[in-house]
Amino acid sequence: MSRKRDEDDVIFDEVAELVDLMSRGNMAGLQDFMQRYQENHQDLTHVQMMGLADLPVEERIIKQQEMLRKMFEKMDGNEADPSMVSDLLASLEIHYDDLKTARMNRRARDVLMVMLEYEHESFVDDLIPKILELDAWIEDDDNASKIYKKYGRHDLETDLLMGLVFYKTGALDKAESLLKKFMTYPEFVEVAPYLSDIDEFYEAYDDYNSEDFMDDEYDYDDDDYDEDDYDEEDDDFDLADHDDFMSFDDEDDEYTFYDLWDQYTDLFTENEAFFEWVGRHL
Amino acid sequence: MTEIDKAIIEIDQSEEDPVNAVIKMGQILNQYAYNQVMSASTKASQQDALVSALETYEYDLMALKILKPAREAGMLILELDPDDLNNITADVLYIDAQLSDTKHAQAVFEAHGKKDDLNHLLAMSLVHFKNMEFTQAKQVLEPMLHDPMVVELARELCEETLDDHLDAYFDCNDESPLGDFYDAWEEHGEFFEAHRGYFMWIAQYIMNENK
Repeated sequence: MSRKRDEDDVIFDEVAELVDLMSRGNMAGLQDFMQRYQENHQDLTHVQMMGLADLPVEERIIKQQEMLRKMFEKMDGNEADPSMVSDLLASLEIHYDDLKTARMNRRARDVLMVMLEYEHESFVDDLIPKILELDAWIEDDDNASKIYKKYGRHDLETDLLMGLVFYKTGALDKAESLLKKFMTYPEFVEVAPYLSDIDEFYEAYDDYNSEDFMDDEYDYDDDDYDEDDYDEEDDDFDLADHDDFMSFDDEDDEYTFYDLWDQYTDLFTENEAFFEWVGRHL
Repeated sequence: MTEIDKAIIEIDQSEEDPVNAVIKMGQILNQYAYNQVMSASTKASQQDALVSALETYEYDLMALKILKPAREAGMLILELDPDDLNNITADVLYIDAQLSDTKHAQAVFEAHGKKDDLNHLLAMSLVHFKNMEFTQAKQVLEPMLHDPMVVELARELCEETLDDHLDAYFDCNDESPLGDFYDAWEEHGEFFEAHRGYFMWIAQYIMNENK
């Protein structure tokens, strides 16, 4: 789960607590809440940014830029205060999301590069494929190569994105040198035979998705069945009392190439020719 | 048969993979083009063959989404064939927009851009928009801001009738002053569709300025 979402959850919890205190007229509790709130949130720019969601994209982006500029000014000369850095990263993530949605790919990539400077080591891995994805859109093999060399974690996702950047810049020899690595990933070996004809791949993809859906739909666990959950009067199950009855447990599923395709669907469908080329060269 | 034709045939015969063939072709064409630009005593037939091969090469690369090399081919054509300046300039600028490359676009626009070519202005405006240069994205349209053709396009976008006009133009061979723009929409379809947000934004600006 991303840091932004973690913080969003905290905010939702706080709002729920506030509503509860107000509805009960608990003044002492309210006072305590306000004190805690001020201590916890000195400057939540990313929350203010979330409040801009209804503005047209260009206005939103300009305002976000202004807010970020102020944040950087505040940080200048200050020792990196962890809460400030955390707020900055959450704000940059919102800005990146909006830029990417508006297809302002180079700017979105630049934001990720800034995040890379401030991000805690444990989160860096999440940024690398996002940077490579944008480098593929803008065909920036220089930046992608540097990032891949320094941070590449050498999994299918990273290698595939790097291969795509090379392909798109016409550096086929470099892309070919990565092909051997693709075949070391079992999730890739599974789809490799279909790639040389993209229509065949899509058939396999559709089959996988329909099978996956059926598996999830009928993932019925007898052990979870409890007669108390069955309401004879309306002849229906009370699902509210029985979260586990119909299980869509994605954690049980292995990560597949099709999941990767879903994750980068715009980029991958735009570059079907690359996958066909890969398929022909395996 | 020119030397270039012979080279193309040789690559076709030796290289099985179409993508590899296109890239290899590009390397050879670039060398020919470079020599051509540098040489004062070039035969017209050789020049025509080279431009034609480069056009095919650029088209193939764009279809394969290998855009930077496609742009290089476009730049060579601009050097070699001033007759086809308008279309190639628009192609190069739309590639720059896809790559969000303001610096390159600006240089091409200043050297070859026409202030009365809607595709040139829109492509340059889109490059600015994609780099968050919203003021410049509006300013660049200034020369044609009140042109009836531009207002008509803005209206089609705002009233969401653009798709109907595109269909009529392509399916029924309708004549339209916006023909060049519709052709560009057809050629760069996925890219234009992905940037409808920009087109809506600029259309609203045009409509406001023409109230």
